[in-house]
Amino acid sequence: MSSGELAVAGLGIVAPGVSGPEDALAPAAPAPPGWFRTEVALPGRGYRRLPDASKYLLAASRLAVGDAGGRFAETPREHRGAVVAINNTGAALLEELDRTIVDKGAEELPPSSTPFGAMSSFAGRLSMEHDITGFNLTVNSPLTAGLDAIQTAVRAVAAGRARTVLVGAVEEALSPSQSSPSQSSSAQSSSAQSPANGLQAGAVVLHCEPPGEGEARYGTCRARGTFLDPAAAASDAAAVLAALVGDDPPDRIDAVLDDSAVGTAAARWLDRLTGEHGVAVVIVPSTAQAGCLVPLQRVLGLFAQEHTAPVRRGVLAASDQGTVAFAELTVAPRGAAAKGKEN
Amino acid sequence: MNPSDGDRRAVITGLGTISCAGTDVDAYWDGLLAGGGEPVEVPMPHLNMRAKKMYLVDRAQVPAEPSHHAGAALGTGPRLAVAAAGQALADAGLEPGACGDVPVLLGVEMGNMDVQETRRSAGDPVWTPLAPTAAVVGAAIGSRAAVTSVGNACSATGYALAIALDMIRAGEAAAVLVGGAEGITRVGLGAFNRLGAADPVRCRPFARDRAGTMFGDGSAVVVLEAAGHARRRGAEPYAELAGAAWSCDAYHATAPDPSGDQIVRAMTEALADAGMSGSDIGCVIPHGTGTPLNDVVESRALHRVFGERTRELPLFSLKAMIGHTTGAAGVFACLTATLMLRHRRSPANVPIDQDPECDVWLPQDRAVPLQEPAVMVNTYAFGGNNTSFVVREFTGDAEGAP
Repeated sequence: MSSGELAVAGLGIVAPGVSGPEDALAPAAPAPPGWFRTEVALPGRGYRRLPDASKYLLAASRLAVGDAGGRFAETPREHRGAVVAINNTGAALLEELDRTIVDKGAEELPPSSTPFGAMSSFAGRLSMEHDITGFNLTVNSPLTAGLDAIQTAVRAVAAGRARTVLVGAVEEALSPSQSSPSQSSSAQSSSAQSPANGLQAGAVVLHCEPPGEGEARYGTCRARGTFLDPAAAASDAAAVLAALVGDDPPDRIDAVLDDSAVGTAAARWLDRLTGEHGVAVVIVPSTAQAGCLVPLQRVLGLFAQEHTAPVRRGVLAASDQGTVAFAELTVAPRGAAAKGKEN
Repeated sequence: MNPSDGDRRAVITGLGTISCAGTDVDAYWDGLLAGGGEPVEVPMPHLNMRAKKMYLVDRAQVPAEPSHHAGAALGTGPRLAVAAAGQALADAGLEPGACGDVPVLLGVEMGNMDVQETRRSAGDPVWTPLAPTAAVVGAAIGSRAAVTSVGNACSATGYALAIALDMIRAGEAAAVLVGGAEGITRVGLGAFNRLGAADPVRCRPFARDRAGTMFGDGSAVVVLEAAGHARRRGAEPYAELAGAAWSCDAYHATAPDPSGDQIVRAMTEALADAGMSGSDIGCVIPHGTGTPLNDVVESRALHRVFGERTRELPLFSLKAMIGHTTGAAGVFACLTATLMLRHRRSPANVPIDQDPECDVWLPQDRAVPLQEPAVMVNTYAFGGNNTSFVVREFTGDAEGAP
């Protein structure tokens, strides 16, 4: 079936300073040492030697699947899918592996982490964890991959390639040398050591189903993308972004933007949208090194908010590379406030 | 472009490629007929490993531009992709300035890794996005549509082609630029050395003495288009992407499931998606990497899908000629299948001493005519991420339209 959107029945998040989906809209916090404890998040055998990012994703997926009340296990294994977004997930590991090759030779590479030189390996364990044989797809567009993952999942379900999909994003912090402003070849913000500057770590997962079959406990979502050429961002932004967002924008748009030409042009256009349509725009500061976690984290956080009636929300992400994506959410009434209204 | 009406079969109307076998489509086909490229020592410092060869584009043929995008230095992968994309659009008769509503879907895993590794060796490390390639191509062709990068390792472009197929069928786009590009990666080479999966001699899929795979760089790009749209603008399709399917082993981080159950399912469902049976297939381009277990498992799976006919069904072992182009492997195979259909034959395979456990037919002494006008392609990746798809002759008859 094709409705162009998916219902969200479960949420899972693992991130420093975040205790659950209800905290997901809080400003990103630095990751203190030991913030993630494998024995707590992933009790059992076989996880200890996985790279941390793979553990974050598995832990978030367990939370999302559990939050959906076992619905994932009820789906036949060949109808289960996963779409996982990554950007910097393997960057620090790749640097470590490469330095080992340079300094000591490839024979000295650690056997446990070497397979993760293939970036889709971070999502690979998800299939074994949840017995997913429909598909396990990794997407990696700069910044927008998490929202691309929603769109890819919507399309895959519409095409009959799966019935239930885990949509996720996972990041690991860049190494200190990679996250230093002097090491970046592209635009930087002044907040070099902020979590937005390549130090994001964690994972988010949404348990998604076709709205006609599933329980839209949190609501429904859809996403679409566009491209804003950085070299022509100022002149093209209005036409490109107006076509992306449409002429009936949601009441609130959370915009993940850096200070690049694309981000600056998008911010100016959103200013006008506020003036003309009364849209509440929440700017979430980002950088060229930010990674793809925050846009999907905003989606999760907006779904976790409680309302007495359905509300429309949007998340827009624009990378300095020119990739732009927009997720539209209809957040279902939920929680004590909604029950109070029913009563 | 109006994608919302007409014949939504997905046809291939443009091809572009640059690889060790040739720097345009005609040269590539001639290169395959001549036996493909030869591996060479990788021109990367600090290559401290045993197997250090790849199938490489002649370095003099690697475009120098674009050297940067949005301030980020670009390696060979994005530059090769822009060159191949330009060829594909020109071949399809689409001007770069008229591509505003053409989405870009690229399968790229380690696209810009060579920039980081080269700078690291020089003591001047730099961070760049790992996968900027799709955005670079989007800017080069003037796209204002969705630009998406798929990173499923060695099956990335199998997935990208299937996504594009779904977009065409759903009326989401009238034409999609689909491709892949990879450059050199020292860490990729080193990792495969460490895993015992890197052949120091050449890429020898299905050979008795195969010792792992050998990488290749390059780019292949195709224009996938709704048949009705192509017809209206007078474009002549090469072939049709008739069906595609996905599966996942859910078995092991790197090794394939020895049962082959999920790769059988991908092949079977790709045939069903195309409305075809095994007897309709004239050739298979296998995933065939040269890693010992993969080739045996795939050979056995082919028998389960094609039965007794397997021994009479020609396989074209593409990676023996251009190496394993990882994220780009699927679209290289798609482009090759399209050329096979155009020329009605499968090139002779690189001669090997074939492993008897790989009981498949690899014609080695001559090109063979296609008995049936359809080619199946398999792509597999770490984590057991599998795709199969079917490229067939396009008849122009709309009966097969979904």
